[in-house]
Amino acid sequence: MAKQERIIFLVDDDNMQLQMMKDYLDERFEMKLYQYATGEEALANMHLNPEIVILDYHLMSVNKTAENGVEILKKMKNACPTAAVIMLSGQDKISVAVECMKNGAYDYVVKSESAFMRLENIFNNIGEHMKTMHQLKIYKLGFRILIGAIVLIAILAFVAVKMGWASAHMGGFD
Amino acid sequence: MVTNLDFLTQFTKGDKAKMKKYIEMYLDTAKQKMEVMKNALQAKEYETLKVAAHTMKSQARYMGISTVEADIVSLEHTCTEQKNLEQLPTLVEKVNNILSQSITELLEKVNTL
Repeated sequence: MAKQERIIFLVDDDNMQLQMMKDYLDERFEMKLYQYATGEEALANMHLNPEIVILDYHLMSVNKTAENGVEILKKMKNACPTAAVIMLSGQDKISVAVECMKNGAYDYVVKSESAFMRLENIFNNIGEHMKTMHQLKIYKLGFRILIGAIVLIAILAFVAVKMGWASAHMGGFD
Repeated sequence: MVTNLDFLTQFTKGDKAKMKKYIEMYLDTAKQKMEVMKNALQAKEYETLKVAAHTMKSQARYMGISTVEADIVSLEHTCTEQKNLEQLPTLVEKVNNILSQSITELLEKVNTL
């Protein structure tokens, strides 16, 4: 079976931030990266089913009518609940971080020199989480098959015993 | 010196082409946002002023311009709260002076890369 490609969305209206993230992640992960300057553009492409979305909290520096990060976050989680959305912000405010996490963000990263390393760690954690979830799915399927087989064997054994009993009794009339 | 390229050097692993690319992006944005901030202050468009300053906050961090952060935070806060607006011209001037100096330093640096 072909390995499924990891699809990542980067959403930021700061071109330099976007380029730095792209370069950093490209060097470390195999994935298909899509870049968007507004949340609206990213939302229009949620059918691509991204595994991870890095979403800037402030998206109004280029387009003043663009919706802010939390509004976009809610819509993204609605459109693609499995996507891990990492919020990125220039402000180190606990209230903003809490608001993002309450609305379904996977994590909150402050734009700073350590942001890139934090993103790398979060990517690795998400990768591990996805692997575990996949294994869990396989175990669940295996367990269901096992239970089905046990039930089937039990039915067959019951039928066999019944038939044995019937033939023994029917033999009595010969 | 207001700039410190230690982070950028480490981030690019000393790749001069990449350093040049990021510095040029910073220069473009800084020149543009300084103009936006000046105009927004005159027009009393505080939201525009705040957004422009906010963009410069993270970009300045990557260029090691630590001296500007506190003034940008004050500027953002003043624009949000719409209180003590009389301090805005001084703040914008301080921020723009530091950004101007960073532009001079980085232009020199870019020519050596």
